Amino acid sequence: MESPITAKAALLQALVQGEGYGLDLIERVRKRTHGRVALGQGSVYPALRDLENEGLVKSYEADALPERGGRPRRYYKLTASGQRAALADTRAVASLFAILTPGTT
Amino acid sequence: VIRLRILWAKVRLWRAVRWFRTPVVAGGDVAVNVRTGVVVDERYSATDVSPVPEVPFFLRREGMFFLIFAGVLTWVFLQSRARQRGLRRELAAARSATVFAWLEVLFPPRVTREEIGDALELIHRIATDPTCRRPHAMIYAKMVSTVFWVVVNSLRQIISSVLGKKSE
Repeated sequence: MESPITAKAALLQALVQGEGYGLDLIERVRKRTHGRVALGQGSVYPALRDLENEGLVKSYEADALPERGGRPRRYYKLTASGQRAALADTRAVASLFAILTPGTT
Repeated sequence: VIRLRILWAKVRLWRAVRWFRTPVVAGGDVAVNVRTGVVVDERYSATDVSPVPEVPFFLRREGMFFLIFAGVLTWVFLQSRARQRGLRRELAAARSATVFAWLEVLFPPRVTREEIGDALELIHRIATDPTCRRPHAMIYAKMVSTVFWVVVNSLRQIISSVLGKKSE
């Protein structure tokens, strides 16, 4: 079955919890959705770069780590507009489910 | 050790029961095999002799030795398999690092540092975790998929930078 949300939306929601790097964000999304949304390498990094280009997230490189072959981790965190976008996404999805759930107005 | 002692106590109990159950065929010269109940001499064919039950193999001494020996062999085999699996995973991780090092030369650093770094971190976790039971083939699969996506994402970035558009 296809993922119910886009990679960008999933990453924004994962970043609401705090800053993180690619592998960490993939794990976060997988755990929070109980495996329903599994982001792949092909979608996460382009989505993160797009979010950065749109000004919704900003990134920085941390210290180099030996287990990464001396490469640094690139951490992403939400900007103010990213937080607004994440909140707007949450409200939109919540209102959609409120409409679809019987007995709620 | 406690289990072995319990097992040994069971064997001794079984032997005692067997001794008590041994039919006593009185009357002097009786040619009866008390273990099988077969009357050898026809004169005593009417004698009621019930065969003594056999002790199960794994309760006998040789059965217990066999069990211990099989257990030790299995343990040694599993240890050796685990060690081999760990070595294969470490070898796969080292080969992946070499391939990634070549890849880093050819493609944009922004893409390679991030994606290859994350892939190497995951591979390192798989290779060094002693509780991990994933085969070394997983590491090679991860290496191949990383190479593929690094090439695709690099091309995407190059094309988008050339065209001045964001990658989709």
